[in-house]
Amino acid sequence: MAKKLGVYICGGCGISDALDVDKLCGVATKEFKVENCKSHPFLCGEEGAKLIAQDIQEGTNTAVIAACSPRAKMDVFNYGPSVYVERVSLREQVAWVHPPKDEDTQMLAEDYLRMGLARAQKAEPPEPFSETIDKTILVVGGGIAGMTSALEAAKAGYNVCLVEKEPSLGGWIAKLRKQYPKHPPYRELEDTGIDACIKELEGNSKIKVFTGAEIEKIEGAPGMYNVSLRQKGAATSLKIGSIVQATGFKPYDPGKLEYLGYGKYKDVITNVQMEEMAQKGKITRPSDGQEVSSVAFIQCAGQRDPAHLAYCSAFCCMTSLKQALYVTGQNPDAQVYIFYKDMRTPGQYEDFYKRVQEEPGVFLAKGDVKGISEEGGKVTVEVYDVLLGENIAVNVDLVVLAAGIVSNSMPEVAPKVEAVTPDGEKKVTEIVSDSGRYATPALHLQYRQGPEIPTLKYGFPDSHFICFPYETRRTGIYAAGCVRQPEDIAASMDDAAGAALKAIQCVEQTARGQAVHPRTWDKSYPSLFMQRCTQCKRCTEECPFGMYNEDDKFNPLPNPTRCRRCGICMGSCPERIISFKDYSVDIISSMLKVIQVPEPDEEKPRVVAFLCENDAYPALDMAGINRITYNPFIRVIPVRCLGSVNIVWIADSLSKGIDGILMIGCKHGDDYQCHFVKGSELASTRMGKVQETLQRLVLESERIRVEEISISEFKKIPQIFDEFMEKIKSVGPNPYKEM
Amino acid sequence: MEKRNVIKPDSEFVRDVIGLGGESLKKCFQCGTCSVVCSLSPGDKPFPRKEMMWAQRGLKDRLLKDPDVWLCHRCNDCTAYCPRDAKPGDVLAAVRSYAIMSYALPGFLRKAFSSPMYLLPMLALPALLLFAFLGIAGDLTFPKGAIVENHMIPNPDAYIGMAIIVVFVAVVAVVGGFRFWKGINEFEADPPPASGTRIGWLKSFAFAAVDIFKHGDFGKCQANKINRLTHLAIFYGFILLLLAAFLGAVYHLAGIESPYSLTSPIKIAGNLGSLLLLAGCGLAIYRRFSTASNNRSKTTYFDWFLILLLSFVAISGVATEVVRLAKLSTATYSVYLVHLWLLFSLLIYAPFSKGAHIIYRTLAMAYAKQVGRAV
Repeated sequence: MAKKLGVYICGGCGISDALDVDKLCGVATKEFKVENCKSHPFLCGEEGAKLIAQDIQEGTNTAVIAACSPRAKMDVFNYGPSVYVERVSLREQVAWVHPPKDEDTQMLAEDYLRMGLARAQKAEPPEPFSETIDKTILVVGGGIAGMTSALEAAKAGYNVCLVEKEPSLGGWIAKLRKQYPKHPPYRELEDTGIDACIKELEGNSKIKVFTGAEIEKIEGAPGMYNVSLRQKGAATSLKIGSIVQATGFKPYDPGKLEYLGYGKYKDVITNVQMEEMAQKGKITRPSDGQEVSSVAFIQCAGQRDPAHLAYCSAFCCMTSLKQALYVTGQNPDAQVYIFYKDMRTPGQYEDFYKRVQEEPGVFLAKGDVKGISEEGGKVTVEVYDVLLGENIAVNVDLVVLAAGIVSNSMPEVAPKVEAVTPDGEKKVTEIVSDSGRYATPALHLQYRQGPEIPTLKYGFPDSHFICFPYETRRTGIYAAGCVRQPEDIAASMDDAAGAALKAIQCVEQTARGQAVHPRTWDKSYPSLFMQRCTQCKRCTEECPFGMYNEDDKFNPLPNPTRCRRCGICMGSCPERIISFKDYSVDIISSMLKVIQVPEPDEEKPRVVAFLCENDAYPALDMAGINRITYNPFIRVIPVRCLGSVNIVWIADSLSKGIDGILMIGCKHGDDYQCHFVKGSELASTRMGKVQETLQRLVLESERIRVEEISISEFKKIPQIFDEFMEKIKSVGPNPYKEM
Repeated sequence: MEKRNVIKPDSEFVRDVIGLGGESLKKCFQCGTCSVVCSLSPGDKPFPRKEMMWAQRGLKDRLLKDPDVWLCHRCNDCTAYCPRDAKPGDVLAAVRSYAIMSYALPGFLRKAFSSPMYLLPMLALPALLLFAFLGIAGDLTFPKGAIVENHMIPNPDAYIGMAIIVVFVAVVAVVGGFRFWKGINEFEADPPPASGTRIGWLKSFAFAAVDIFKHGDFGKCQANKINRLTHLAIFYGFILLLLAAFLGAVYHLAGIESPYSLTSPIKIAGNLGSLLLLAGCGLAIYRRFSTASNNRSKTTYFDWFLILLLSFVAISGVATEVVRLAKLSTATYSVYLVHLWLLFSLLIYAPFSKGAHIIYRTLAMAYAKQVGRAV
């Protein structure tokens, strides 16, 4: 479709006070030969909006609006899916942060307009990927989280298939005698209510339950998964839209707790064994079958201990308090000791803690267990009492270890992979976490990057923990319950409802051809110019979401509904064959090309800053709103993720005479904030390599800098800008300027 | 191998402390706010946090030998700030009550304080003693002629009977005090006293006495400033009355017999003392009924026993004087009889009631001065 461009410059909000709008118009009409350039003192007002709307009615299909930030007034400057709108931020990034009627301010505005025009000339409005999709939700795991997810999704009107490998539903909750209180006044134990839950589930016509079933493989992508099941020997195939993985937990192997007497003394048991015993009836000593009259609970047995489980399992404190009531309920004269590192009873559970404290026979003490031994038919627990600063000991009938849990994703032994080195040597390497292969099989995904969702070092799924906890690194697959993080029944149920909602959002977004979190409005998707593909596998390896499969010849096979539209593959591609309709290597390169670079003797250096659209770019807007001034020699280009920055842009910039390149994105590493998980990490690795190359070319590596900030640190952006400009000044002008 | 410090919670003890007014002790979650806000607690091993924990765990032995329990003046700063409403002030008071009863011998008498149901026999005992005493000394009739209280006891040798009771009370008190002193020294011997060097016992008692006369520790309390005033009134009232009694004995030995003129030193001391005692008791009773938010402590039977007995002793004493001045012979002797009976009760039960704190607190304060635990 032929482009018909219209340029609209707003003079409002102080723009016309700071800039020469007519001169700006000249950039469009003279340099870019745009016939239609209009300015208005109040473009977002009724009259201004009419001005643009009329042009569009008359055939303008690309509007360059030089006014406020693209993050402002999105509803006003929206002309439907067939009109491409490019926003040039003259307000937040020019008029509000630079001195008015200044030469450098005007130059900055003109450059921004050129960049906007360059982009508008090449970008097209995206056309959504459309395919017939199925909206059925698959829930894997029939414990409390899985059942809740299934019920919530069904109640919202979606068909659900629930797969459970055990012959019956219920999971761990079905093995409990009672649960600790979930309702006000949070004082007395409650029934689990599991039978009613199963009955409700089985009676729901929208839910199809497969018990005793296992998944053999899952092929495809969100909206069009093909799931192969095996139930009691018979194979079934399902069409699925999205998946909730609620495969639960396993108790931490108590065999590793010998230092607490487990396995050494018969009367040392785990909280799981205690619950089993309680469900069967009387609580007795395993050694002689006598009813217990004194019990010691040891909290954090092997938990919050780097040698065992480094984390807190979230429910053991409450469970021990509950089990203490089992003991005093059976024998009111019984003495129960609870030794803890910290008693963790969050929220309303504090009331239950108070309730158990009232029991005359329950004694709580903060301490470290020093030793466990057996003497005269009793188990002696020695504890260093932290608060009193002394060692104490108790003789009891039974010791209960409040052992923790491990995500069912956590592999028991790290899987190994065999590979042949280029020398023809066979080499076995251990797979580490942060990979789709480091997990216990559950989903059997037919993905190039491995059969399971990528997990972190404790086996919990990798996800952006703060912003979108249920998202995993596989689009359309959402983790809920203890497979995701240690949590109790109530939290698992909340989690399950959340994950069900995400699964529903996924099928709905996919049906519209839109991305899921975080670019939920985005209809673009990558297309590959395959003739030039060299099968280097960078895109298939580096996509954090496993979007690409591979054929036998290592050609990438995109699955657009798995895509999050971050552009990391675009940044990775050395052949630059991956493009979005409105975001490509060529588009950004064109923007770079139109930046005017003054001669070195003018002493006006130029720096290009790539800012991540998720945190850094909004932070820059906030700096603008707060009128924090900064250096006018910097040209900002928003990018979808730092991972989408292709190194050819660095080369383009430097060869053009740009003096420095700044990249500002989200934090990476263990507590990463990157909205696309791996983007900022990949960017800093790539830039590290670019810096090496620069040094080889005898160019100063200081010309490139990667910075990380979070959205709240907007005050830091101008500081980063100014500091970097100081550095560039000391390094001197780019020698390529003169060529 | 190190000797194991095996904990055997004494559930009976926990129940007793709860029964003596410490019912909130189980609420404590060991945050330590109490020790932080207490202005009397030393920095090293502060109270009442550790006492709360020992009480929760039923560690009777430790609490009985713990001098810190007695450094507390129950101003309730801790109770006012406790986030759990565990009322450490009440719990320590209950532990003190328990300690008094444990140290006093013979045991049956301390049992009598455990419940109001023993009140009648308890009051009957001093009455019987009084009658026996009067029966031996005289003929159980009211004297004729000028109204002189002392004429109720015509034979001065009968004072020997009085002396026997005083000796009994003193023995009980000294034995209790000795057992307590042994206990606190045992307790603190391991580990040895922390900060500060030990000072001589004479010096430490002197320091403690100065503190007691000044009521300095009471002055440091924040939540209930009025406690200091109340206790000062009772304390000095008591001292003046003791002085009057002492002067009475001196006058008697010097051959100066009663009645004395209202302007004589003995009468001035006695009347002033009575008024102070009445005022103090009145304040104490008023405070127990007031609903001020910083006064949420519970008043137990153990507590009421002393305060009411003391009040009635003071009231009956004043009443005797009033009716005597009104020249009502029979009434004077009757009221005096009642006064003697109440005085007897106060005296006999002193080592078993809250009154025994005179011994234990003094010892504990001296001990604290000695080992440098006093703030």
